[in-house]
Amino acid sequence: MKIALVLALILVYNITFSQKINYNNYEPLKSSGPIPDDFRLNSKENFESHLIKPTSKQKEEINYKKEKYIVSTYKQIDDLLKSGFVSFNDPISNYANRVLKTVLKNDKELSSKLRVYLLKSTNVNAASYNNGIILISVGLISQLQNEAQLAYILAHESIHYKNGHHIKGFLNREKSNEYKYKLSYDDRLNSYFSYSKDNELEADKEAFQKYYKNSGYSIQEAEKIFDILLYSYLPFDEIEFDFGIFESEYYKFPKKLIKEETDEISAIENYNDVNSTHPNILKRKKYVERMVGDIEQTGSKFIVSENEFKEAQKAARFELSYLYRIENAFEKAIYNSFLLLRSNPDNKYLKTNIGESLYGLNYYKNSSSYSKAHVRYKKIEGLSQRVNYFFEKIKKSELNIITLRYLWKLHNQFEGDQYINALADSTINEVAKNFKDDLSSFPTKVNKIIKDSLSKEEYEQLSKTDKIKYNKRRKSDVNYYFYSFVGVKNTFDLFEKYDKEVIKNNEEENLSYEELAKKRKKEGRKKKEEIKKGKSLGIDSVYMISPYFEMTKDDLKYNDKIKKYYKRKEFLETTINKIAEKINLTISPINFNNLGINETDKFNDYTVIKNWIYENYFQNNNNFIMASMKYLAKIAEKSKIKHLVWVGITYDYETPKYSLYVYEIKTGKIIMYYKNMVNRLPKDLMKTQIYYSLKQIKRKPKN
Amino acid sequence: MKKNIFIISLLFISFNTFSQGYMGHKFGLRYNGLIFPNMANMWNDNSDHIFGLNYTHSFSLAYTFNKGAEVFIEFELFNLDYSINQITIKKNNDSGDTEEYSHLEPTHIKSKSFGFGFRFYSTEWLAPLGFYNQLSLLISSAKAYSTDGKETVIDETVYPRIGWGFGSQRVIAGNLMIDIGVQTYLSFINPLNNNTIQQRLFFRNLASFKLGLTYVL
Repeated sequence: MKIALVLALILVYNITFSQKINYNNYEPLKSSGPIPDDFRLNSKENFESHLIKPTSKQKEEINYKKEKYIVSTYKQIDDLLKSGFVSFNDPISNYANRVLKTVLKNDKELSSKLRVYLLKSTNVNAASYNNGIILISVGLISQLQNEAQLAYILAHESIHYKNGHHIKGFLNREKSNEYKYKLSYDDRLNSYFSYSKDNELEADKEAFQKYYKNSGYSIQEAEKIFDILLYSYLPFDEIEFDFGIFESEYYKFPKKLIKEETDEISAIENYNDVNSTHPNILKRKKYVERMVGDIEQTGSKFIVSENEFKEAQKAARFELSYLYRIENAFEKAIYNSFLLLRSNPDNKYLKTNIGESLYGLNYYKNSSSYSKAHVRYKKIEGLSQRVNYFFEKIKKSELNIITLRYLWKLHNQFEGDQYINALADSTINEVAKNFKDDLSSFPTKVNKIIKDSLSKEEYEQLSKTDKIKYNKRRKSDVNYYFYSFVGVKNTFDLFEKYDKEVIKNNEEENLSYEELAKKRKKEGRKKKEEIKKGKSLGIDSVYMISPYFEMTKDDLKYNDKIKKYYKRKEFLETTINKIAEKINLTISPINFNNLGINETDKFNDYTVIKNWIYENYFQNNNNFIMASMKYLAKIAEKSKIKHLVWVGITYDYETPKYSLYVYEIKTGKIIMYYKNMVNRLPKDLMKTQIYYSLKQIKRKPKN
Repeated sequence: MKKNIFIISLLFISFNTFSQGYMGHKFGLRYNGLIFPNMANMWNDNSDHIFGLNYTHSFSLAYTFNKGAEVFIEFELFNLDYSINQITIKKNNDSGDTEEYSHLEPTHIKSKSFGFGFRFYSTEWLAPLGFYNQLSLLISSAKAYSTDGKETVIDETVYPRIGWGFGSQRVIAGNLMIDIGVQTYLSFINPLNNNTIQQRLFFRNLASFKLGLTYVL
């Protein structure tokens, strides 16, 4: 009876898991349930209370360097957890937590101190910290083949925590600094790396012997994990890319764009690991192989749930498409989505992802900064190299056509989707600006004669007009993409929009010199005025990302400097709040520290905003439509606050710079940018800069 | 006059919309003490005063009208107690004839000036903070008194002068700022005649260090 109940519960759980994610309208994984203290609290005391206790011998040394140790470690984790790229209680980390409990079933004390969160990163990585947090990346989950492999990785990270490798590493690093004048830099570095490698091997060994061996998982999987790590820089599958998804009967790519043979995969197991924190893969593999030795193959690949693993893996792979897209890795996003489309045909999210990646590539190609979006094919190995080769060899006009055609087809298929419409409209604008041929002359229908070459008899049977068309086509030297829009629906609308854009772009060209000069003068005057007087936005309330204060390497050198850094940061925060209060500007900080335990919805909203800021960092272009925009628009709809402010101090070649950006959440566009660079940052100047920039947000426009 | 005041007020109102000021305080009251070496006595035989220092008191009302500039009106005072002037006195001698005696006598000069000026702050900073250049125009009136017994006006000069200065203004506490710099004035009077009040005034104004306090309102 009990077993039946448990099975029923598991079944219900599995159903809820699969129901949670709507893959057709996939949205980045969200956190759920009460917010853990790790994300909410900011006090150093909270951080200290989670730290593992150092041994008495270490204690003396730690006490001496306590402040530095805590601050350097604390800031690193705190920044990461509050970056918007770590989630809790999502399907993947929930599952990973259960796997962790399973593999550590014999050490409940340890397992109670640890918790797993999901790091939304494309890198294949896992890390543990000295306050018991283990992060596993989306990239890692997408590559793993089974639960046993995940269990081994989690056991490995648990040992890092249990054996206090962080404190040891820190003390070792500090010690090497004491020998600054006695040993060369290389000697110290080698010693540091060899120490780190020892720790890794220790974690491999103890993870296997103490936990993994007796956990019931398949022993052999511990070895296989190293092969996965070896090829982790490749996509999660090796399948030949099918360019057919962009082609049609009348629109085929020439051979020169398709690379016939791709380069071999060169992953080397036995690479030189002198300057690496980890031993090379061969060493680790052999080490584990020796431990596995003669142990009989027992255990299973899945204990918690095979279905859950597959769901987690699927979610991670879907998430990857989004992450690649926001990192400007458009070619990787296209290949990843292509791989997933094979098992999820007609998936809207994946198709949109390909569309927006094409949009990104096309945008950068047109703006002559293609290197920001494209990775050279020589840097890529394996079958995905074809995608990069294709986008390297393609010309601007060709890419314009592929993008426009693909997005217009999406626009037809998912009518009414605002995001796709925006992408299509923006591309039409791009093509109108950059495409040299006349798009509206492209045929949208063809007769049969276009397709085939005709025999004499067939030719003679044609009407006069068809004969003329046939001969014209045979003689003329049209581009292969001339027939690209044949068979595409609603081309009338497309060409109409295109023509309007062309006319709009040509408006300026048709102006007389006098009119143009007048226009330029007016624009120039307006710009000058704006610089002189500043903006007047008339905004009463804004969201604000918690002020950013860049930490220089110098700041981390001594305890005093660290303290000073925090004082400066605190001054920045309090001054902003004071001044905002003075000028009646309501600031709602996007700060996880202010959240209540049950404000997970807000947490998720903040995460979307932070993701968007991150994406914005890559784009640097105000007109570019970002992937996170569609999620941001939803926040703008439900919130009264329509604007977001980013403020911070950064360093440009050691010169501090105060900057402030104001974004309109609905469109994601920057509506105000203020910066000021000075040699030093005295308090009075900071105050007045903050006042002046915030005042411009609040100040009402004259008319 | 009324018309002028009206125009100036209008200008102030139009400036006001986009003015900066330290944390929004656009008006500032400033006191500057100008300290200068007593160069006026360089050509004097009386070597007592060669290395002397003199002081000028300057009061200004400043108004910051955009992020890089402020306008101010200034009232300036100074006394010159130990300046030496060549005095010619007519006296009757024993025979009843009038004779002219010429001699150097301690003279007391009192000067009042009134004018306006602009300060242009470095683009890195925001007015009224940071490094600045200053241009001003003053109308000065100086009276020389004989100090023997009664204060008798023996000379009076009214002259314009233009000033250029530079310095730095920084917050020391709350709304109080410190102002440090150098100030020079070019007076439109003839400095070439020795031992005249004009010469004294010209060199008196030529260059000074300044140290002041500004309180933003």
